[in-house]
Amino acid sequence: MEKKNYGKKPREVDEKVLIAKSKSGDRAAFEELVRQFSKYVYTTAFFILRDAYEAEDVSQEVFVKVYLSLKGFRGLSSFKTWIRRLTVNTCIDRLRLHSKTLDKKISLEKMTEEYEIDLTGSGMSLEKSYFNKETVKEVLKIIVNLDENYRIPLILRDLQDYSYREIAELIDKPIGTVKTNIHRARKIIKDKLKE
Amino acid sequence: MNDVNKYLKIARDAVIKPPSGNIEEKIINRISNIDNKDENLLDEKFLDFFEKSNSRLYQTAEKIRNNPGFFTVITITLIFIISFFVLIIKKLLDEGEKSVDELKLSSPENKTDKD
Repeated sequence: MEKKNYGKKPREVDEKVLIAKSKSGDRAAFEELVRQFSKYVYTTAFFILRDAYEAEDVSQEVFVKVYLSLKGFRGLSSFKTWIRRLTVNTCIDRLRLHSKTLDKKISLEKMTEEYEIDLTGSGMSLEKSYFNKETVKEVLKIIVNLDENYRIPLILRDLQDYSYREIAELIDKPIGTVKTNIHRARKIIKDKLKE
Repeated sequence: MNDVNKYLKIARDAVIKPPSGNIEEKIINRISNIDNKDENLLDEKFLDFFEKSNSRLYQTAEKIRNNPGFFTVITITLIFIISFFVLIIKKLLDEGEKSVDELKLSSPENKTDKD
């Protein structure tokens, strides 16, 4: 008998079906998971690492890890949460490995010219929110140009939903420092938007 | 600051399109060429993460550690509710015992004894 999924979002249902099929070795289902989540993984990696090629490399590494371990995934958290945490962990490890060489700043001009920011998933109506979207893009450019001490905690807290405690553990800093840096980062964004 | 928070909230859904082309195809190609060496990617750190993400006990403990205030309020509320029901049950039992005693006292046997 066909199972009914009343009250569940289509994406949620799709995701569970795709994971179940992937677990049983269905390659096409796994490729569909890649299509659904690759841009999200790439974006997360890009904001943390500030390097397009490193972000690509991390995205591939994350999906290889997922492919090799998916059979054992129990699904206690959503797939998106799981892959997000895996991406953040992989990026933080990379930052630790290349802390001195990797911290590259991307100029605002380069960001505007080379990187296309898509906000179609934000659920805002186009006419109403044109100004908002432009400002959000501006905010993202400011974030990318923030110093690592401000950028990483801010991204983890405000874009990735980590708790202050988790951020402190992840980046090995006291919770007070994390809170202060996030507050300062938000203030920098506010000041730059006023300019 | 409220405006910044609003923009940050919208920014959660932002997606960057890689300048170098189709990331999906690159990942799919990479997965097609997985070999034994790739097993090394599942290092100790990854296995620790994997074990934790598959542990219900760890997940619950993390939820409590992330929201200690919320869980304290829930625990206190539960204690109050349980105490309230215990008190009500105790009161009902006491009243029940009282009425049994009263019934015994007002029964004809007791009356004749007194007479």
